[in-house]
Amino acid sequence: MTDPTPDPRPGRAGAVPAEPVSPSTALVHLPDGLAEGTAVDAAEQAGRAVLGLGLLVGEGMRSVARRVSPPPTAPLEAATQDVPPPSGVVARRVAVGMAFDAQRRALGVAEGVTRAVMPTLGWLVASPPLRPAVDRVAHSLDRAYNEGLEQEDAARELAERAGDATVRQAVPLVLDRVDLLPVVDEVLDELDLAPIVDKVIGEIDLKPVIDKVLDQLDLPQLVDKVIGEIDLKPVIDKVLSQIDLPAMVNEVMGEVELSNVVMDATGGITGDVVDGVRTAGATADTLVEHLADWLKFKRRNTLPPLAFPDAATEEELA
Amino acid sequence: MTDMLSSEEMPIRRIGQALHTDIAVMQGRRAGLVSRGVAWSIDFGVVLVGPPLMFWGFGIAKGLVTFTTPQYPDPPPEWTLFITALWTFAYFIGSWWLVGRTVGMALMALRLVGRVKPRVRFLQALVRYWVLFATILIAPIWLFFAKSRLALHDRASRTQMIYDRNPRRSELKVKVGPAAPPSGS
Repeated sequence: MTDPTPDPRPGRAGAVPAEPVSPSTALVHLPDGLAEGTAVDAAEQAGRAVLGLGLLVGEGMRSVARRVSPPPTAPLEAATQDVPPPSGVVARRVAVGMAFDAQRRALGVAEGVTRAVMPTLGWLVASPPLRPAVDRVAHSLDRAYNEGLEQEDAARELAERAGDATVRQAVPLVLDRVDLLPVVDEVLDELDLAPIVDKVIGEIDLKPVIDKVLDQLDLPQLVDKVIGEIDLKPVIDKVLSQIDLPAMVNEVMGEVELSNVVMDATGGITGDVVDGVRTAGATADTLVEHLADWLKFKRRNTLPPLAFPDAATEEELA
Repeated sequence: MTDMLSSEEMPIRRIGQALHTDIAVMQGRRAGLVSRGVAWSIDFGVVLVGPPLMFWGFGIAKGLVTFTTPQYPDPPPEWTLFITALWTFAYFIGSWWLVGRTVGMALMALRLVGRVKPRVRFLQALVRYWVLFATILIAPIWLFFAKSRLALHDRASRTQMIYDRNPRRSELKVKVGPAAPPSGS
């Protein structure tokens, strides 16, 4: 007999809250399950589900019939008053109540019988003479169960493939056929996004989020990593190859006329200062020379000697 | 205080105004003690700053070559003295010989020219350099009393210092040799 191993595959645990139980396990623990009344509850739930489904179908058919031949409009006063249900509804409710009462009584009897019979049945199933036969049946059931699992997986996989293929084929086709722009425009026209955006922005405090992101983000390391992984040389080479840098520099320098700007800005001031210093120096030279003449008891009112007196200028000759 | 006193009430200002000398008028004439002293002071500063700058340049170049942090070199004192002397020699001799003026002389609109030709020869620059440093203590006193505005090193090297506002030596408009006789005389 195989062990009741839980199915680790995803999807199954979600579909069935309890762990999946193999048929052999269910067979062995059948008397316990029945003794706990699970079968009774299941039968009652199933009966109610069938009843609800029937009522829904009936309501649907009645609404269709009303649309085909609508009843005459009742006055407003009559609609607001407490109207007793029709006799058909009363009869139906009585029948449902009696059916469920009968079901509960029958299930109660079955439960009592099960409690009396099932221990004996379990003892018989677990007895040595019947054990080989029970094992064979359980083994066959387990094999069928496992095969069913595989088939189910295959079917699920096939369905997923078919779904993916359908989506891949259908979505482009639909997007090609359907003009979404008017729909989007209409939705956006109908939808007033401003209050929603204002509300979202007003309710969200972004500062903690940004602080947390910045705390967890090692920005220098990230920048280093990005710069290290990006090979900028081809980009720079391509940019430089497409730019005529000398022509651009010449154009910019021509537009700016930097030399003129610098000379205009500094030349005047510097020239005035330097000329002032030079004039002061020449004046001081003359002053010192007069002082020396005064010390030597001489008086001189001539200009300093020319460097090349033979090459006297016209002013000197005049 | 200066606002309260007029120019007539300040003797030094009155003397200055009387002796005011236009630098344009002094073009081509020999320079005096003060202008030359200011130029010498500026050159002295250049001489002092030059070796540290060279050492720093050497340290930076060494750091770039060896991929290490640039450091100011620590040469022995005799090396520092030797480099400073070499720099001083090269600065003055090269400036006088090649362009006829140092940095200080350029700022003060001075130029060193020969007594016969504007161009200063290398030998003249060499003699002027050694005599200048040999007589550096008495050179200012000599120049103070020299009527011709020629110092000892000027006389020894047959050079002279003149006012020259032209940036290039080639623009010095002087004629060499005896002046042509005036027409009609």
